[in-house]
Parts: sequence; C-alpha cells; structure tokens
Amino acid sequence: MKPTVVKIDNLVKRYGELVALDHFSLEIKEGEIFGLLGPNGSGKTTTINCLLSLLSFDKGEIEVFGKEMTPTSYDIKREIGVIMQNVAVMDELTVRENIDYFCGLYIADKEKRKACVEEAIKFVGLEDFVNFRPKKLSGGLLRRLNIACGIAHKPKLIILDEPTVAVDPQSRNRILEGIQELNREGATVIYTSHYMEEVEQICTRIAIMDKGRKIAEGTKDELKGMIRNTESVSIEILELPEDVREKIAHLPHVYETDYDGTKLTVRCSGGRHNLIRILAVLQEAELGFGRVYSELPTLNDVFLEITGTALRDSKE
Amino acid sequence: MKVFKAFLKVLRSKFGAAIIYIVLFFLVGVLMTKSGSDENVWEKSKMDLVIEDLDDTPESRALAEYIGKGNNIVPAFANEDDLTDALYYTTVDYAVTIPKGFSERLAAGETEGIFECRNIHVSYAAANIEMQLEKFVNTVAAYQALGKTTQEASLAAVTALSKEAEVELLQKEDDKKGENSELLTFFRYMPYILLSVIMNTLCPAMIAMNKKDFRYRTDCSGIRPHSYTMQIFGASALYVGGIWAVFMLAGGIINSTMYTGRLWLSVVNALLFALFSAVLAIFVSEFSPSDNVVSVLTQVATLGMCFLCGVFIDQSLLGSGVLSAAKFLPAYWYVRVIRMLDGSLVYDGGEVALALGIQAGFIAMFILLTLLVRRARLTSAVSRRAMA
Repeated sequence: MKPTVVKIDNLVKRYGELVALDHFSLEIKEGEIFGLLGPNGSGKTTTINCLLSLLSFDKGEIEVFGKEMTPTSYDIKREIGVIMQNVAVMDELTVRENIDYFCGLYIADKEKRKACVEEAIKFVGLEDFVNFRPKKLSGGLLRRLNIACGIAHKPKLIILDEPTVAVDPQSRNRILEGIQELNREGATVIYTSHYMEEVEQICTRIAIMDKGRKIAEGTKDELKGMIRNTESVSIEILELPEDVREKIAHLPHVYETDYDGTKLTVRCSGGRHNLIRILAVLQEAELGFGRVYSELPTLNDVFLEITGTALRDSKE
Repeated sequence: MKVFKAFLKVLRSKFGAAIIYIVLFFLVGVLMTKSGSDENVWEKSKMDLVIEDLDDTPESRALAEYIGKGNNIVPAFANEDDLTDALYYTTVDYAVTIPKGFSERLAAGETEGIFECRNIHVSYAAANIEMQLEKFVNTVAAYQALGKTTQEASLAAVTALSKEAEVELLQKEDDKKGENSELLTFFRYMPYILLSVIMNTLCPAMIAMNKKDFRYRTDCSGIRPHSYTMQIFGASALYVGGIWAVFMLAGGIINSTMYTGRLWLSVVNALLFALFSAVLAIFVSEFSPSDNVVSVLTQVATLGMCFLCGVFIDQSLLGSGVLSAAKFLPAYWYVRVIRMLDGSLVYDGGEVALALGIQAGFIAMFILLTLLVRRARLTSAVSRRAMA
C-alpha cells in the first residue's frame, strides 16, 4: 500500500460567523493526482492555505509526509511546490531569473539549482524566452512560467490551485499534459478546480466540496456510481403524444422524462440498451424524430444530484 | 541570499528613474560650489589709464609709477580726437596729463589743479583714480613736512602707498554666510535628492517584493520569515548606504576640505536623513500604492518638506509660522545642523546633538508605524485567505 502524503483530519476553520471548513477530512496517497472540485467559495483555497500553514485553523489535524504540518515545518515546505491561479512572478526579473529566484528559495547549491532551472525551462518549453521579462510574454507563456517557478525545485508534492483559469484551450491542454508528466515522474499532485472536465481528465481521485464540506470522494466512476442517473437520452421530436411519453416513462430503468415541445430528455438509472428501447417505442407509434444523443453522467450531474445546484453556475 | 540578490536586481531595474536626479544634483552642486567658492576672495579692480608725462622729472615719474601699479597703462594717443573717442567708447577709462612744472608746483606745496584729468563717463573708477592722485599729493606733502626733499618725498610716497592690506570676507551682513558656505551649497539640497532618489527606487522595489501573489509564493517556500526580512533589510541598507556614500565621496571630490574638523557632523547628518528617506519609502510601500501614486507621494513629500523646511529657501527668509510647522519635519532639523556647521547660526554642540537626535527619533517613529501597518496588513491578509 502506498504511503499517505497528505492527511487532513476533521479540519474546522471559522471566520467569524462563517464556517469556511466544516469538519473536512482527506487522505491523499503517494502518486495520486487528487482533484478538489467545488464551486467558488466552497473552501478549496482555504483547505490549501491551511495545508500550507499559511492560515491557522480552529480544529483538526494536518499531516504532510507523515509529519504534523506547522508554520515552522520548513523541511516539509521544501518538498512542496505551489502553483496558483494568479501568475506570481516578478516583472523586474527575466524568465530565467524568476525561476532561479523561486528555485533558490528551496535549493541553496548553485550548480544543482542551475541544473534544476534549466530542466524546468525545458519542461515548460520556454527555452526561447529565458531572457524575456514577464511583461513581454503572452498569457499562455506566463502560465508556463508560473508553473516552472513552482516545480523547478522538483517537489514531491505539487499543489495547483486553479492553474487554468482564463487560459486558452491550447495552453490548457499543455498544462494538463505537463501535470500528468510530473505525476509520472513521481510527484503527488493536488489539483483544485471548478472545471469538472479537467478534473475528470487528469485526476485519479476526486473530492467534491461545497460550503466547506466534503460531499463526495472517490474515483470518477465511483462518484458517478453514487448517483441515480447513469444515462441521459435526448431526442429532437416536434410532436409527442402523451400516451407515447407515458409508455416511455414506464420502460425499465427510466426514472424521469422531460419534454419541452422540441426535445425529449429521458433519464435512466442503470440497465443496458435504454436508447434502443426508447427508439423502438417511437417507431411503433410511427413518430418522426431528428437528432438523437445519449450522454453519460458528468461530475456536474453528480454535484447537481447531491447538492441540488449546478457546479458551473455556482457563484461565490 | 537569494532574496537579497533578487531585491538588489529589482532595485537596479528601478534605478533608471533616479539617475536623472543624481546627474542634475551633481551638475548643480558642482556649479554652485564652484561659483560660491570665489565669494570670499577680493581683488582690486584695474582701470585702463592713459598717462601723459610732460614734466618728465623724478617726481612726475614717481607719480606715473604709483598710478600705473594699480591700473593698466594704455599708450598715449597721437591726437586729442582719438583720446576723446577712446574715452567715449570706454576703451580707456581715464586720462591723466602731468603738465610741465609739476615738480615745482609740488615742491611749492600746491595740491589743487596740478594735473589735467579727463574722463567722459562718471563712474566709481574715475573717482577711484582721483582719490589715488589726491592721496599721492597729500602723502608727498606729509613727507615734505617731515623734512624730506620733494624727490625723496615722492619716492617715499610711492613705497608707502604701494603697501596693501590683505582683506578677507569672513561674514556678510546680508546673508550671514560663513567660512563653510561651500558645505551649505552642497548639503542644503541633499534632503531633496536623497528623498527623491530613495523614494523613487526603494519604494517601488519594496512594493514589487510585497506583491500579494509573489509574497504568497515566497511564504509557501522553505524560507524563514525572519531570514526573508533580514535579507530585504540588508539589501535596502546596502543600497541606501551606497547612495549616501556616493554623495559623500562626491562632496569630498568637489571640495577636499569639506570633511575637516566638526564638518564631519554633516556626514552623520546626511546619513540620518538618508535613513529617514529609506524608512519613509518602506512605510509608504506598506500600502502597496500604484507607481503613479508613489510618484505623486514622492513629489508631495520631497517638495513639501524642502520648501517648508528651508532647503530651497533659506530658513532666515521663512516666516515664524512656517518654521514652527517645519519643526515637525526632519528636514528642518537637517537644515538647522547644516546652518550651524556652515556658520549661518552660532555653533552649539548641544543643539546639533539635539537636531541629530530628533532626526533619529523620526526614523524610530516611522519604523514603529511601519511595523504597526505591517501587522495590520498581515491580519487582513490572513482574513482574505480565510475568505478565499
């Protein structure tokens, strides 16, 4: 069994009347890409800040690499790399100087640091921009620099706090590929985001947060298995008699139908060949229909079913 | 030492804004020091003079020799019109003709009308020549009264009148500038330049290092907060010390006698003001203002303080109300020390120590304020993190 890298036990963080973290617990094993998914204000960043001891908490325990994490746990902090949503670099320094600065906060040996800096530059593909100042870089290149600053010292635990916010799709894919590569090289990754597709794409295990609480945890399949909906079938149909809709509603595994005059949505719970059975009913009634598509549940459906609100639409 | 080096790099990138202040200061400083250094040296003015000796006796030659010593002798003109033109166009200031029979009339004790003098423009120069002629005649008469012959009296008069007293201006009544006025000239504008240079560089550099996200990432690293603060402090001290040292060195080059005797106190005075400028810059940076706000604050602080405290206008010309208000600013005490050192005010060791102590007090006060603001900001930052 792989060792535990991060263990958060019963964490409570209050800020006045507001409970930012409500008995939050978590365990992350070595080599995982662990996703913390939740809407803005759900407590993801507070969890990260407590984990890094940048924020005190009211109750609970945090262990990193098997040791208690405190504000003076500098030996633990040296093994952690942090990449934030906002680009945190110095405009007055060049790309190389920025990476060297942050790497220098962890590695004192000049030769070792130099090698690490060059490796990080190569990893994020900034070889042609090493003498540029950040202001001269495009948004995507800046994000890469931001990542290089966080990983140059080869941390064992990398924390990425919404690193792809306001990033173009091409850069986003590159960032996600980079995270997977770092994980393959041995780093344990904590990835916070409110983009469920990203979390689904790269995370091996996911915890869904809302209002400071963990509402679900597991692999993406385990999470999807927690909800009733296993398949949503949508059919474009201009005319749907009530008796036909009733017939569909009574098909095996169908638990909900919804018709808005142009589209019929049928939600199924488990079972196989649901689409074929629905189409057979329509053909039997000799009804014409347009496009047909079947969707498997997303983490948004998981979040929706558990909390009653959509993940994407939630605002802080 | 990573933070230390990075901070120096940031300071270097901000230094361009300060260079123009330094260059201008040195230019003005050198020019004013050099122009001010001649103020105490006096030289007798010389006239362009035509002497026509028609008598050609030892007495007339003695007179010509005496007059010629203090003035420029211009050769006699061929005709009267040329001389008149020369006098009119002031290529010649004055013309003296020693007529025939001069020695006899001098021996007879005559003093009036024994020369022919011509000038067109009434001036102090002409009056000065006339005074010299009169002085010669009276001196000869005095020696004659002592029993000397006219010839002996004339020669004795030339010898006696050629002796000059050495005059040195120690203090002028109008501005009371003393023996060390170069010092005042060099140091009086230093508060402006120190504040401008240090505020315009140290303040933006501190703001850059304290940017929220940058600082957050630094806090996440293994560096101890104490080490971080000490490295920033060390780099700031090195920078401010370097700026101060450059100015002191330049002062020594401009005037090698500048730091002799108690004038060394001006070095301490400037160091205290440089430190005050640094703590003020750090204090302002705690509020993380934008570059434009820093620029405005710098202008307000430097110009306001310099005008109120007698940096640009001598304190003796400022009203008592202004001076009373200025006492609450460190530049006032800085200027006061300079005025005591340069002799504009009576030197009082106790008062100099008091003025230096008050400046040190301002430094301590701003350090305290900075710590208070930093503590408040830290609490606020923790709150923001909690709310995130």
